[in-house]
Parts: sequence; structure tokens; C-alpha cells
Amino acid sequence: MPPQPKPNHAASANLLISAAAIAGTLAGWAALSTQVPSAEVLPEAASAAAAPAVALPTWLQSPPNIPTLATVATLVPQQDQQLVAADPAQPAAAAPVVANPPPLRQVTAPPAPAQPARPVVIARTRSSR
Amino acid sequence: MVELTFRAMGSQILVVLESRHVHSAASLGWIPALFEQWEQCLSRFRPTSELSQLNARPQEWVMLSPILWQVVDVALQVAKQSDGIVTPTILPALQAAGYRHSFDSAGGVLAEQEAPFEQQMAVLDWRLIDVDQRHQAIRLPAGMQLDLGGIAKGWAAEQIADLLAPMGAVLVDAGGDIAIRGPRHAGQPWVVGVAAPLGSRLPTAHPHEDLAILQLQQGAVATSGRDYRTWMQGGQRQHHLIDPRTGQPATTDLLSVTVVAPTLVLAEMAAKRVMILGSSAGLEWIETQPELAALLVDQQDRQLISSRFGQFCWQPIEVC
Repeated sequence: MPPQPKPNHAASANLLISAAAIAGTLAGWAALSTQVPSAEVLPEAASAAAAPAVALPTWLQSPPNIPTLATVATLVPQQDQQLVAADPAQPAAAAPVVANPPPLRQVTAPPAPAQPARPVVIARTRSSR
Repeated sequence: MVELTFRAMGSQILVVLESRHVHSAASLGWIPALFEQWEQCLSRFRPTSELSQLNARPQEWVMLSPILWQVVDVALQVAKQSDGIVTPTILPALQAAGYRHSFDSAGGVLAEQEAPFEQQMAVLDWRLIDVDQRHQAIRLPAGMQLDLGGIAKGWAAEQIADLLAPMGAVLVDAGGDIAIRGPRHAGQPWVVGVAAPLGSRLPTAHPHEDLAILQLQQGAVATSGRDYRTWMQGGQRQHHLIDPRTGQPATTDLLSVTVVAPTLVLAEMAAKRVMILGSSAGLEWIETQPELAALLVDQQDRQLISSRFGQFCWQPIEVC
């Protein structure tokens, strides 16, 4: 008997979350479309100084392209998809080559102050031995 | 430069001569023989020595050989100069403290000594010795015996230095007591290190580094200390510096004293006197002696110097 595929609980959860998100977006869109006032219903005080009527932006004139559940399902990443590490840091670019570099100048430490040489001890005084 | 080393009087002896006339140590071979002759006369550890025979005849007039007479005379002058602090009359006190054998014969370390059953009060007052200058004879009082140890060694080193001086510049080191005659070639001084006392924890950059480096063209330097020649007796550590005021090894806060002086006998006396007096009284006394300069090391490893010591140092030394 061939092995049964294990139920993919994580994928199901992602699907549920995506459906809830779409529903929320649709509800928000509906609420937004009802709250946009038209030029005719502006209050009088406002209409006295009202600017000329402006056409609704295009994105408000037609409902957005809401993906279908099937489309959303295809957008959910597969569980066995491997995460790909970011590219390692690129090596630093080589220093530009200078055509005529100036000659290197040798730098030397300043001479230490002269220490008198320790004289050679011929004999040592100590308690008798 | 010719060097000769040998062992005598319980110490390592070094003779250095810079001379145009002497080119090999073999020509100095008479010096150990002379030391041997003097030791046979002056040693208290040799039963057959002239000194031992003198010590065995208290209350008798004894005529002395020219050598013993000369050294006894020097020792009595030292006793007088030191107000009796450095005296040759300490032998019974030394033996009572446990110093009955030479360190050389004991392999450098004295085994623990038993305390004497009955310790007689030693007779230490040098003024009780009768002296007949005309016949070069002395008479010791009952209970007194002489030890010429340090004085004899210093005297011997001075004799050799004086004998060699006509041939060139000389340094004679007798177990750390050093006599110098004349500058080296081109007027260079002799360079003498001051060794740190044994067992001290003085900070030195290298093991055995010197506490000070002295430059001397003439004169002498001697060190007295209780870091060496010590032994155990009755569970207590003893040393060879007897305080004649008590008849016991001196109770002193000093580990060692180094003195620069015109002569080795004077340097030896002064170093011993300061050791016995202690740092405060000792340094105070040194400052009253315009010919002397001293470096003291106390038992806390502090170094003290007299006001004139720096003039002999190659470089200033750090003192506490």
C-alpha cells in the first residue's frame, strides 16, 4: 500500500488566513466607497468656497482587481520551498591602479635617547661566603 | 688583566691585577700559599693554629708572632673605634649560640645545634685584655677567647692589595669584602656590584641583579649581613653577628649593610657596627663619619642609603 501523504496543516492555516484577509479587504473597500462624498452633497458653507469638482481617481472608479481564492492559493509559498540565503558579501573591489605612483618615503622612528651601557661588574660585595 | 681565584679562610678569594709586567695567573701562585700561612696562624677552627693556642692559655702572658700580633692589634683598634660594638672577644658567645664549626667543613650548612647545658656569661669587654707592646705579648682574662674572623680576612685582602699595588691596578675580593688599589687602564674605575641579600624579595629585573653598581678607584667596600652563615639552635634561627652588649646574636631590623670606606678593615667594622645597631642608630652613626658611605637593606626589603653613598654609584638607585 503506497504511503498516504500527510495532511499539510500549515498550508491549510495559511489558506484560511488569506481568505480572511480578502474578506476584510472587500469589507473595507465597500465601507470606503460609501463614505466618499460627492460634490452635490457638500454643505452649503463648504460649497460656497468649494473648489471645482474633481473627478475621482481611477483607482476609485472601478473596484480593484481582487484575486480569487484560487489565485491566492497559488501565491501561498509551498512548505517544501527552500529558503535561499542571501548572497555572501562581495569581495572588495580592487584598488585602482595609479599610473605614476609617487615614490615611497621610508619612515623611521626617532632615535631613542642614548642609554649609557651597563658597565661590566668585576666583583660583588656580599655578606661573607 | 690577570685573574686568580681560590678558596681560603672559609671564603672564595678573587685577585684581579692589571699590569704590564704580569701576564699569567701562574705568577700569582704565591698568594694562596700566603693565605694558607695566615690561616694557619689566625683561624679559630684549626686546633693547631696560633690563635687556638692563645685561646687555650687564659690568664697567661703569651708572646705572639708578628702576624698574630699585627692582626690582634688591628682588632683591638677596631674595638676601640667601634666603642666595643665590634670586638674580637666574642668567641665563647659565638660557640654558645651554636657556631662551633666552620661552614666549609660542614659543607656550607651547619646542622641544628644543641643548646649548651650551662651557658657561662662570656667575658666580652676588650679592655680587660692586658697588652705588652714592648714584647708583643697579651694576656686574656679567664673566660675570654678571641675570634678574628672578619677582621683577619679583611686584613689579608689589604695585605695582598698592598703587595700587588706597585705592579698595577689591583682588586682583591675576599668573600665579598673588596680592597682596591688604583684605577684601571685609561683611568677607568673598578665596577663592583652590591648583591641583594639571600632570601630577600627585592624587585630586580634579573635574578641576582645588583642592588647598586659602584665605581671605585681606590679604597674598599664590605658587606655584613645575617642572610648567610645562619643555623638553627633550639628551634631558633641564629646568626654570627654577636651583640657584645647582650652576648647573643644581635636583634636587628637589618638584613645586610654595605659600606664604602678608605680601608677594608674600616669598611668591615662599620658594616658590622651598623648591622648590630640597627637601621636608625646605624644610619645616624654613618652620617657622622665623613669617610664612610652605606647602603642598608632592612627585613622589609627596604633600601636606605647614607647621604654620601650616591657619589659611588654608577646610576642613582631607587630607595625607600
